[in-house]
Order: sequence, then structure tokens, then C-alpha cells
Amino acid sequence: MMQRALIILLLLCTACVSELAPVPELQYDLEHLESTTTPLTEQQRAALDGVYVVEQGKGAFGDTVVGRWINDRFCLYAIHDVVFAELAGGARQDSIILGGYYRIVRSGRGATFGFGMKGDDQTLDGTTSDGERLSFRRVRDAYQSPPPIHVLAHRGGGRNSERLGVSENSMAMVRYASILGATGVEIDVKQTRDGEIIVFHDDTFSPRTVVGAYLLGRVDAFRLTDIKRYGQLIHGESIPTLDEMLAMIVDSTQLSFVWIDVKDAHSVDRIIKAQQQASEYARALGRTLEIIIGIPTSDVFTAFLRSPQANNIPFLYELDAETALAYPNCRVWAPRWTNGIPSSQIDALHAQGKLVFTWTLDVRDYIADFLYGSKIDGILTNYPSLVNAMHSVQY
Amino acid sequence: MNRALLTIVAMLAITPAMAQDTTDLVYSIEASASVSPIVSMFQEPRYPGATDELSYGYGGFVQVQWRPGRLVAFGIMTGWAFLAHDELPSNPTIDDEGPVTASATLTAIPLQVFVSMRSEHFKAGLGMGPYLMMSQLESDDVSKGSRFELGLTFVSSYVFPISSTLKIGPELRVLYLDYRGILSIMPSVVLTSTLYEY
Repeated sequence: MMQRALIILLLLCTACVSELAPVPELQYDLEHLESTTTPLTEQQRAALDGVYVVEQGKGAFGDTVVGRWINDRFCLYAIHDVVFAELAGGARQDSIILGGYYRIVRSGRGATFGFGMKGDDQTLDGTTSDGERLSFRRVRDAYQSPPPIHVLAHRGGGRNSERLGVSENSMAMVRYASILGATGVEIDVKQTRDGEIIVFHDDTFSPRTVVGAYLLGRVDAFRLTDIKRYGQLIHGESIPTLDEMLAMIVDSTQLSFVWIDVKDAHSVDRIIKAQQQASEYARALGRTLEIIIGIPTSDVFTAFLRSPQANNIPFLYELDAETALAYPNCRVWAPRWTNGIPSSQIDALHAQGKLVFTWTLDVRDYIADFLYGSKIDGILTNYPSLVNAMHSVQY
Repeated sequence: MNRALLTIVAMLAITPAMAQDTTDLVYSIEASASVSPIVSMFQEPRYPGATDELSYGYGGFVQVQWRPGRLVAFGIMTGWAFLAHDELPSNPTIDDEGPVTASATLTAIPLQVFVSMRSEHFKAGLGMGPYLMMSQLESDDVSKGSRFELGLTFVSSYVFPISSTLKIGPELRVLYLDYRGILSIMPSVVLTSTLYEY
């Protein structure tokens, strides 16, 4: 008996924090390839957008991928698993040359690869750095729903556990979110001891999220200057304030939706101020960008209603549909996906011009249920490439 | 992996010790105390821009163990370890109201169970469980943070009797906080006393 107790005690005391396996660095000089090729015409770019059948390379990419230009990058998204590729390139003689990398997010595997498409051929042929042959044949245009669905990336693009090489809730991650297939982002905000709002998910600083021996414990124990001076996110980025993040989203991204997930009820007023300033800034620049305050709990909702601007600020409500229907400035109702597909409530909300999102949906079969079997307007996910691809392959 | 290996070694060591004959055994309660300088190695920079992996500090530990007349003993351990201190130059991008002197300290308090084996003079043990990690940041204001994190403490010592109940000797103590990537080495002097025998 005593032996058994000792063994259990030893196992408990030595229980360790499991570390994620490292993933390969996928360095590819995208800018160099761009500088050594001729930029593609709009026609050439449009001809590459679409749905491709994978003829070689099914091991990594499955049977079907979607190709999509995101600014000056050509991105590929698989539908059988969470696989995305970022490529750059242009024309050289009578061919289109593309190069970049792909990553299988859940396993962490990936490789660099190059593609070529000759003349009017609709097939991208290439080889990966692992020596695997790739051949993708374009078969049709990608589906575009009217209106487009919102693919919202969780924690600014993905969690640290996704091992994307950029930190969750960092400005670098939010800039990367489009490449991952997102049209919008969800960011988490916490209040510091001196009342500043930072973009950060956890209640405490820990080695899961930050590098810096002195930055540990509760976020609200530290001032913003302490946080900036003593800590960085795990991939070396500065921990951004909400103001910095929103200004960057307006200036440097084409994202169309920002969901600010309010973690502290007492920080609502300060968050509303940042939301208003950034929305005005976006309007002044002619940007189509909705910045919405997310209400996840009744405490946050009570604090929100106490704000003098509560009736004018659009908000996203995660609790019951009745409350979402009762408030004219509730722009989005966002129930948890595990509650099932709320078809009748979706119709009622749509009748009032409101949107319905669900969160945080990463399971392929359930993504299919929501995408193909409901009138949902947006999905918050850790795997935006998968949602984007599954949406795009519809007929 | 290292922890799993250590657990297996510790369990193998305990099992035969527990199988001994239980007649005429002398049970005792022992206390040990040690103080020492500490050299700590940090796997990650202690703050943005830090280049020095090593830091120097000091600390003291106490442990109380029940020794059931066998080679093995069980107990608890606590103490206080000053692991690191850094003074940072003023940063104009942060200190927009003028230069400030910023300094930071990192300390750790173990609250661990302790298992040890010993021969007549030599003792080796392993402390397992949480450390309370504490930081204090000072500039024009003071901020304090704390957090429990799991860690291990390896201890080995060689002691000589200086009275019927007191022993003294050199000790080497190693603190390992793998989640935070800190390895601390403490060469120290340990004083051991038998508090009670039955």
C-alpha cells in the first residue's frame, strides 16, 4: 500500500509540462524569386486562382487543393488536412515560376518546393526539397458565396501550439493570418496594472507565451513599461498594445473583420475607446474593416452596458440569441459550435440584418456541417486554411 | 525523459529498502540546513537583449526527513534562492518620460517532497514538486509577480559527525526548472541534526 502511494506521489511530483516537438525551419527566399521573375499580369494571376486536382503529391496535399492569390503571394490550401503553402514568383520566358514552402500544421512537417506552369497548360508541376514530385491540375474556379463567409483566425492567426514560427496574438501573426486563409482575426485583450490594454490571451505570463525570466505571474501585476522592457513573445516579437495592433491591422493588412475578445470586465471602457479610434481611422482611410467588441460573459456584458457609449458600439455576443436579438447594436451572435447548428435562430438574426458566427471550430466534419448545412456567416478557427479551402471547393 | 528516468531510478531504490526486516529498527526525524552561493544558467535571455547566460546569487535550504530505520528517508524541503539580478539601461522607446534606472530580481522558494538514500556518510536525494517563482521589477515604481512552476532539486552530501546528534559536511545542490530553462548549481555546507528518535 505504502509502496503504491509512494509511486503515485513520485509520478505526481515528476509530472512534467509536455513540450511540443520542434518543426523544421522552412526558409525560402520569396523576395529573391520575385526579383528574378517578371510580375504576372492580372489575367495570369486570375488563371491561377481556383480548385486543383492533386495528381502527384497526395501524401501531403490530399486529392484537392485551392489556389488563391493573397496580395503578392500565391497560397494553396488543402481540404483533407490542415496544410497550407505560401509561394511567390512570376513569369520567366514562356513559363510561370513559383516557389515557396508548405506546412502540414498538425504534424509540423513541411518542405520547400518550386512549381512551374508552361504556356497555357493548366498544371503546376514541381518537386519538393524532400524530392517528392508534385503535380496539381487546375479544374475550375473557386466558389465564392454571396456574401463571402468570414474565416476568422483564432488568437490572431493560430495558437503557439500550431508551431507556425510566429507567436499567437502578435502583430507578425496577424499579418500572417491572410496567408493562412483568414479574412479576419480574433484577438484577446488583457489589462495591465496601469490600465493599458495589451493583446494577450492568458491571465498569467508563463514560458508558454513569453520569453523573459522576470515576466511571470499575473498580467495585471505589471505595468506596460515593465512588460515591454522585460518580456517578448516566444518568437521574439514585442507584446503589442491594442492600439498598436489595431493601427497595424488598418495600415498593413487587408483583413475585413476584427473580433476583440474582452477578457476583463473592468477594461471595457478602455477597449471601447481603442475600438472607436481605430474604426474612425479605418473609415478615414476608406478601409472596409469591422472592429467588433466580443462579449463572452455576463460580467463583461454588464460592464459593457454601463458604458456611456454602449448603445452606439457594435458588439458580438456569445451567450443567448434572445439578448442578441434584443439589442439593435448587437452586430453578431456567436454561439459555441458544440451547441449545434441553430437554424431557426440564424433565420431570426438574419431577418434583423445581424450575422451569426460560431467558435472555435477545428474539426473537419463539423466544419463541413456548418459550411454546407447551415447559413452561418463566419467560423472562428485555429485552422483558417482548412475552412477557407472547404468553403472554396463548393459548387 | 530525464524526469521519467529519475523516477524509475528512485522507485527501484525505494523498493528493496522497504522490503527489509522491520524488527528492532530505530526511526528518526532529521533536519538539515545549508547555505551557499548559486550559479545559474538561463537557457533563454532573462530580458530582451540580454546576452549573459550566467547569473550569480545565494540561497539557503532546509529539509526535514523521516528516516524509518532504513537507507531511505522521506521528507519535505523548502528554502529561498536568489537566482538573478539585472540592472537595465534606460530605453528611450519605453521610458518616454525620461531616463529611469530599472532593475529586476528573480527568486525561488521550493515547496517539495524529498526522497533520499544514504550510507554512513554519503547521502543523495531528489526533491520534486513546485517552486514559487517570484520576480520584483523596480524603476520609478515596483511591480511584483509570482507563479508556481514544477522543478527538481538534486542533492548529494558527505557528512561527518561533530556530536552525537550533529553532522556537517560539503553538499552539492542542483536546481532544475526545465519549463523555464534554468539550471542552478549550489556548492554548500550542510548541517544535519537528529531531532527525535524512537
